Amino acid sequence: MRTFALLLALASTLAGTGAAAADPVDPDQSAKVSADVNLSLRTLTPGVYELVVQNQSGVGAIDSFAWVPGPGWRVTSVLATSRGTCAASDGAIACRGKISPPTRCTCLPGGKVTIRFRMTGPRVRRPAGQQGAFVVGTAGGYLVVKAVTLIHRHIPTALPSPAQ
Amino acid sequence: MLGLLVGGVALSCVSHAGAAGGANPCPAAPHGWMAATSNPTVFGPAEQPGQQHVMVSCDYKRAPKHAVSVVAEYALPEDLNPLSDFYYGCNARRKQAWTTAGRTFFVASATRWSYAEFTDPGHQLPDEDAGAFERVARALLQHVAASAHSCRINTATPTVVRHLYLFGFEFIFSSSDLKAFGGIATQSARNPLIPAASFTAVSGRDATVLAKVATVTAPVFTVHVVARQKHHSLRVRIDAGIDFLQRPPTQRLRLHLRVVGSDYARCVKGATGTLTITRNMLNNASNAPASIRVGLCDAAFERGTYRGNAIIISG
Repeated sequence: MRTFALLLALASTLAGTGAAAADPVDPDQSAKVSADVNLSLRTLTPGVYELVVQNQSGVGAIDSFAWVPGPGWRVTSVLATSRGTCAASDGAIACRGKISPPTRCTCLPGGKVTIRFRMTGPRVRRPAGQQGAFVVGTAGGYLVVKAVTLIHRHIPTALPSPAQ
Repeated sequence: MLGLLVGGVALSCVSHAGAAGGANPCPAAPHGWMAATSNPTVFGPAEQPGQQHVMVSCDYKRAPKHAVSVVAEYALPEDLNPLSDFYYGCNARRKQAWTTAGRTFFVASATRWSYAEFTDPGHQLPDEDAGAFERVARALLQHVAASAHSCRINTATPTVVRHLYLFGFEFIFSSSDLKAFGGIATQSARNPLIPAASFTAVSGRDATVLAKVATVTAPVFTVHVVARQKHHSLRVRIDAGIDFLQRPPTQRLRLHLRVVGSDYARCVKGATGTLTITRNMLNNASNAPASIRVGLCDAAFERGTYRGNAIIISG
């Protein structure tokens, strides 16, 4: 299947505001991988996050996509993007800009875009008696690819072996 | 895939059942052979959600011990780019002639992403009958052509991605003077894992959580009504889609309804309205609770209480 579709981030883990101040680097950066899109999300500083979207598809270039965070999270502003344009809308991010597909095989990275943004999270109380860093996780966010420019050649899933 | 890919089947289930299920695409058996009564065997999105191609198998037998299966496979029109995942078709030069030693015949379509083949490693097909089954294979390839993806792939301009979802729902409505229940099966007859209806959604360039429903494929469903101790029934069709909101964990689907048959005077044939399904997108059990609202027939189903369940999953 090569459905260029909606990628549900099943278990993005974000640092909550509580302990994130003490530990700005999220130990669980929650890379998400599919056959079409690689997605990683990490905390830069409290309230500021970075999303990396990488085209891993043999279908073609991604022209536009949206990323929607999990329940309780809300994107408030986009601070920077490495290419194209992205904007916060409805608590999520809408992006335009071409992300090229892998060139030699889908086993190697394709183009990518990095987005830095502000996001608010759910109010979660620290469990009674818990010591140390307090990390708030989330699940159920998703990425939807909205438009693609198809490529007219087959991108193999693996490189030919040297013997071939 | 680590992520859940949501997007791809239902149109295919329903519309392509016509090609492979409605009219039997299997050619007649050659002289002296019998076509299996189970023909055709179909494996496509109805059997495996997310799959964007269909395999049609036609089985033939000749007593006492001869048998052969002729198989056609094609990419569905919904396949965004068959070059990336189907490989075969759109190239008449890609073929393999039958030989006594090779025992495989393969022919690809010149105009569609499709091919047909039969293979006989077990020597159950007499060599003298191979020619007849070559004709069967070519006929089968022709029969599935209309259902297959054309060779044209637009590489010049962006293609809007249509995301495919399967859905089903049921509701019970209760008010002081009316009780009603109905819905569309959350398990289809062919595959209990697949709901009976589907829709596609597309997102605008600046959209995030809200997508437009582009197409809907759903059976006409019955709403049973009990009013003043009398039973009535409405036949309701989903005319078109409105929109599909996904703001985790909430998922809301809105559709246009039309009454196409009725023996209930308060809600006559031709009446139009809306159906709204709101549910938790993280719960994909077929009996997951959902909020169902039917806006139809001058608020007949407005003032009362609803109980319902629904499923919306990726195709």
